[in-house]
Amino acid sequence: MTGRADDPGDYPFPLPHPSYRISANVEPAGVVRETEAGSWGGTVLHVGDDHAAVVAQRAAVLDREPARFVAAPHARAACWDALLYLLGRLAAEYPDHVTLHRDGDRYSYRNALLGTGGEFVLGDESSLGEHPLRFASRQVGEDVVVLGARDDRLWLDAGAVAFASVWSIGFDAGMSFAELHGPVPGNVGGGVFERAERFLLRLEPGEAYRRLNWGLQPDDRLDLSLDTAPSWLGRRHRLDVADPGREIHLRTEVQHLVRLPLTGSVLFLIGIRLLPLDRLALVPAWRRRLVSVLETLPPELAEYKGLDALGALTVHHLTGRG
Amino acid sequence: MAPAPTDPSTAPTGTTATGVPASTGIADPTGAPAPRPGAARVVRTGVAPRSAYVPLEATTQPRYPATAPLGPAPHLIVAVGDAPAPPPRPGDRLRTLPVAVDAGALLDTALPGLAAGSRILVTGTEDEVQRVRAAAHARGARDDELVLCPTDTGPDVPGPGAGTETVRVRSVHCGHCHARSTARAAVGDTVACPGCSAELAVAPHHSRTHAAFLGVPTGGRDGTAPSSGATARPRTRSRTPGTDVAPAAPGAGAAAGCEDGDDLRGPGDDAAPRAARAGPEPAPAMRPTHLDLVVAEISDPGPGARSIALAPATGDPLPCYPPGSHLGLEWAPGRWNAYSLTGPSVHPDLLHVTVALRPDGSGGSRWAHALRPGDRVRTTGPRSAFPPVPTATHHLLVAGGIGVTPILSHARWHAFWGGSFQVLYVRRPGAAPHLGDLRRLCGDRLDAVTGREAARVALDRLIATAPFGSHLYTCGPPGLIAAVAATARTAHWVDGRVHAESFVPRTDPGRPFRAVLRRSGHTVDVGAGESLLDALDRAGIPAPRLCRRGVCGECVTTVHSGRIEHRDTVLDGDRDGRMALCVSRAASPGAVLELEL
Repeated sequence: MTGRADDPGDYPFPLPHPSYRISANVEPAGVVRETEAGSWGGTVLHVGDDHAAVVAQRAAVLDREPARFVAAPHARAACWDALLYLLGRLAAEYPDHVTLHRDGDRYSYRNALLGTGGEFVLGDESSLGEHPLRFASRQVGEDVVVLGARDDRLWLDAGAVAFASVWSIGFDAGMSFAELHGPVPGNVGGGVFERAERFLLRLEPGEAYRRLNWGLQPDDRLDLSLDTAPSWLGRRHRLDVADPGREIHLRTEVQHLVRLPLTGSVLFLIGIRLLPLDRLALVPAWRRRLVSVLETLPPELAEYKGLDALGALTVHHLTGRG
Repeated sequence: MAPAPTDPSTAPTGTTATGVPASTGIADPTGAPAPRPGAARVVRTGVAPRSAYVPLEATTQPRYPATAPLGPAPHLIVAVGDAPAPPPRPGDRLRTLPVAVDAGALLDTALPGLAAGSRILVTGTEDEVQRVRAAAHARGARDDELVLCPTDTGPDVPGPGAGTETVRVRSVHCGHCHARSTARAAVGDTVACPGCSAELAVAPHHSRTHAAFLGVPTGGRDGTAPSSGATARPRTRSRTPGTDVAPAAPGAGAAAGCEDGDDLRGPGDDAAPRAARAGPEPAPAMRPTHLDLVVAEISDPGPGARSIALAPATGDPLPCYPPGSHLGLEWAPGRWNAYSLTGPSVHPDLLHVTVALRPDGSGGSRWAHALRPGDRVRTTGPRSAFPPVPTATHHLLVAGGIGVTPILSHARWHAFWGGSFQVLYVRRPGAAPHLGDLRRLCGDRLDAVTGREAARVALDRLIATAPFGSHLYTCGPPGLIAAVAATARTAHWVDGRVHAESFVPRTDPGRPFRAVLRRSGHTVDVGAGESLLDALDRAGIPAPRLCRRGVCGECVTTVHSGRIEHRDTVLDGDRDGRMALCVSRAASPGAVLELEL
């Protein structure tokens, strides 16, 4: 387990270069990566000081809004696959806190990180009391999406997503990988999505990769889904920020892509890590690189990430320039 | 025979267009009747921004290929409302669906009697056609089995950016409250959601599942003017799995991600440490590339066939695998043979393969038949190239001889998960490995036949009676695979429903070559089965990398001389004088490459 949620020491700072462009920046999962402030990445599943609170917040969103959970009937085995993988990963990465034992098709688990535990039978939803993917999403700090592999393409078959960054799992359910990214400007010419899909389809069952994505936000909301857009859009548009150092946050998405071992479906995990500018600025190299990235961001990319005004405010705050 | 007109001039116009209920209260942008449930009022036309850099063809807005005459396959023709439909031929069926009625009930009664090779032709307004398509998808239909003939689309008039100026009835799915409504609007218009009153920009983003366009909340509410900022930039794009969602900068080209490459090689004070440290790894997230196993049991499931059960040689648990997976066994140094896994695939205690003896083969099967309990075996991890398709309504499994091995694995899977399946086992007289195992798993879902004629008769019957949405899987001799595929094609099955097992190795490990490094002055010999990057690591020469799979471009390096066999997918079309260190090799064995490193 790691330190406080906004400690730069284990923060996955997402900008390795002085400028930022789109790329399929995937790398093997579970490999420790050093940063100027410390290191991160030794585990697939992140457990910070705020772990229980993050998990509880996700559960509350999912319980309140049924549209945050989708699962096609044909994804049943893949969702069980995801559950077994996630519990197994927790037990492997946090062996002092999580155990998973199997006796035939019967599994027993104990998760002391959250104070949960119990037994279930593979393939028997009644032994869980709910859908296996919803159950799985209550055990980890990450949002979970299951992409089925068929016809040499990936399809969004299931997901439990509370902290989407300006999308909605309820609308995207059932889309192909290409459709998911259809309206995205990067789809034209670069072929990044086609390449990423081919890469994922070539992974063998059990292989795991990760990548980082990033953005800025004028608050510390985890839930930036379209579903709640009316409650956060206004502040974002008004740029209603009194104290940028404390209010503006770097939003890093730690995304893991796992070819699930039992079905060959792709498990997509999204972990949100927020870092306020004041904490970020404690690391001079990070402050310089974020400023440099924002100052050299192509306009359409800045618009896509919603960074034109927020980016300028961030640069202004970090450089003290008027 | 033209199925249905797509020329808008022949389609009725106005809010009472064919397929649209005349009384739904769908609003005209110029005068707004009171919204009724399910109808969204258009608030503004052409106000919401249409991204200037998303061309229409790059969006998910539905597009329709030019309609062709009905093909030879039997058709279920679904006409919505009074849409014109082609006359059914013998073998075709025509059903009409009232407008605004869910197509599910109609399909639930029509599909069970529909042969697996059939097509479904749908005619009606775009909105209605898309709803029928969604209902058909949910019942196992594929896009290449659907013929969609919207009567109100016509040529779209492109508007600014991704928008269209074409006003027609469109279903809108509220991104906020998930209510579905219909509006007579163009993509890019702003409508009021009847579910939550939020103002929604109709995005160029269409869902095959919901048969609706995404309505993106603008921040405004019906009846209140949103702030100018709020309407200025609704985000109309979804961000989901796996990739960046930002555009490549002009000029960055296909090798996006490489443009910062120089920074990697001469780290300045602002460059992050690049090399991934191999930290203490009690629980590696990546599966091992090879398994060290020991023979636990051997048995003979039939004449000339040997089953080998393999246990871990160390304490590590064995990996799970998808049904139909195979294992590569190293039977001589650098020589690998692939064999299908036949046992349980969920947290297996043992990995089971069955090897048919081929006395005149190159030696792999003789080696396998000589194995004894306690012998050590090196294998690949399980590899999946023949998995079941979970959307299938029914799985038809055909095995020939020793090809029974992956079929056994499939049958075990369907029996566990309750999938609908049927097995045809074409056996030789006196030799039927695993027939007893199949009988126990399948019961009366197994046909075991001997001889070519009996196989043909059984195959014809099974393919003719397979329900719509079936998938067909064959493993056996090439002649059987070809015969099954031909029978399915004759019955008009689309190719995407016909699968056959092949053991073609994924990648050739490659042969040795030499790299001369201009900047560091080193010479590195790269062995067979090892990557250039591996060889550089072995020699202690720092080199950039990230994915190690030839997709990210981080390790792309300048080549001064030598011909390259490119194996990456990042340098498409822009490979002159560059190579990906992680996957690409010298084009000929023993060649020398000179690199800027």
